[in-house]
Amino acid sequence: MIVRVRLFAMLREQAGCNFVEVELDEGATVRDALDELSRRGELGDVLDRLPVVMAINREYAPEESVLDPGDELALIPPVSGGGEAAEANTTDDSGGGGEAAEATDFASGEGYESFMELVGNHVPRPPAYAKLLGMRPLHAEPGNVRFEFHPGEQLLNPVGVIQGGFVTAMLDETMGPAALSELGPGFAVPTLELKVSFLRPTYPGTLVADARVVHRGRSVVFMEGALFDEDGAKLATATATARIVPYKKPE
Amino acid sequence: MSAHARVTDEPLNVAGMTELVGRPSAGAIVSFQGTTRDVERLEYEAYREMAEQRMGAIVSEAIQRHGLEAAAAEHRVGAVPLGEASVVVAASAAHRDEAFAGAREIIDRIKAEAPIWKKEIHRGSEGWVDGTPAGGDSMEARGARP
Repeated sequence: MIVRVRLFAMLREQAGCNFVEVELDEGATVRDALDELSRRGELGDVLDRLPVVMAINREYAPEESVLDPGDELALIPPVSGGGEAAEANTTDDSGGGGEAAEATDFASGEGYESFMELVGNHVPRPPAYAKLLGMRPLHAEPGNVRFEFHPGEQLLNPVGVIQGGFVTAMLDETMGPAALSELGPGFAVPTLELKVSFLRPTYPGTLVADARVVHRGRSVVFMEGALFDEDGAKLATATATARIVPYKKPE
Repeated sequence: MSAHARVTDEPLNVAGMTELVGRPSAGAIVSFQGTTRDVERLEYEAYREMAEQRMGAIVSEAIQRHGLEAAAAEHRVGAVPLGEASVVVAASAAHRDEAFAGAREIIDRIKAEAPIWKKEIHRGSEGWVDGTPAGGDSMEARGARP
């Protein structure tokens, strides 16, 4: 099949036209299309240099999405909408050059939607440090939540491994939502105590944290969580206890 | 209609936007303008159909989440000279806390999620501004992985 992909900004300039046509096998995915475009070379090294994502029918699409010749496809290079030119050009709260490109958007993905459904949209906007940790929800069901993290080199200690406080943050940021997903809308879970065992050194890359509620009492909730690397090796485990209080919108 | 989103080639009108979100039940209206600074001009390019759709969703979600009376966002495309607005957001609510929070969320999310790009033009040189990876669940940063 042949699909047509719209181009914008630096990609449009690089190709010298508004779209490219790509020949792909039936059932090809977004990832296949990106690989093919990268191989053909008319977009130069932009696809390898920048985190380009694809939109299908005007919605951001995961790389596993299957393409249909009838779809409206577009390549979306990093966006820089809004005003305040100099600010957008120089500040990046995730801190570290190339690593910034790996920052993920919390407020997207199936995991986020199912989590928001569980807690009834009572959760405030994701914290600013979600970007620093490169945090993305993978899965949510009552009492069990899984997040993906992409910590960058700005979190390394002088020995070259991710500093334990950041490892703790990743576990804490997964155990809290696990408790919220168990309790449903209208609650907050301030932590009373938190213990972490660092089993192996943690390096930058793709990490997954899984957390679940061990026991839910009337006024406290007990959680446990674990952090894994890409190959499934367990890097750290944690347990935590939190109070169950009514959620109040921050002033 | 309490949610409004538009991408336009025309100069933006903050007074018109403020009027648009005014409601008898609104005790607070917050408006925000993002303006070109430090360079001669910026040139904005948008994937217009998708940008309007995404901005519309962002505005509607902010209305729901913050209990706003109404909210609106407009983004300008094409050349935007020094000092002029490229984006305007207006939000109304019963009280100021919700109006500030809603307007803040709308502008933050537009900057991160709307497929809009800008090029800086200054003293004869030009270049696309490095942005943030577009918001979506396909955040596998190609080529940026170790």
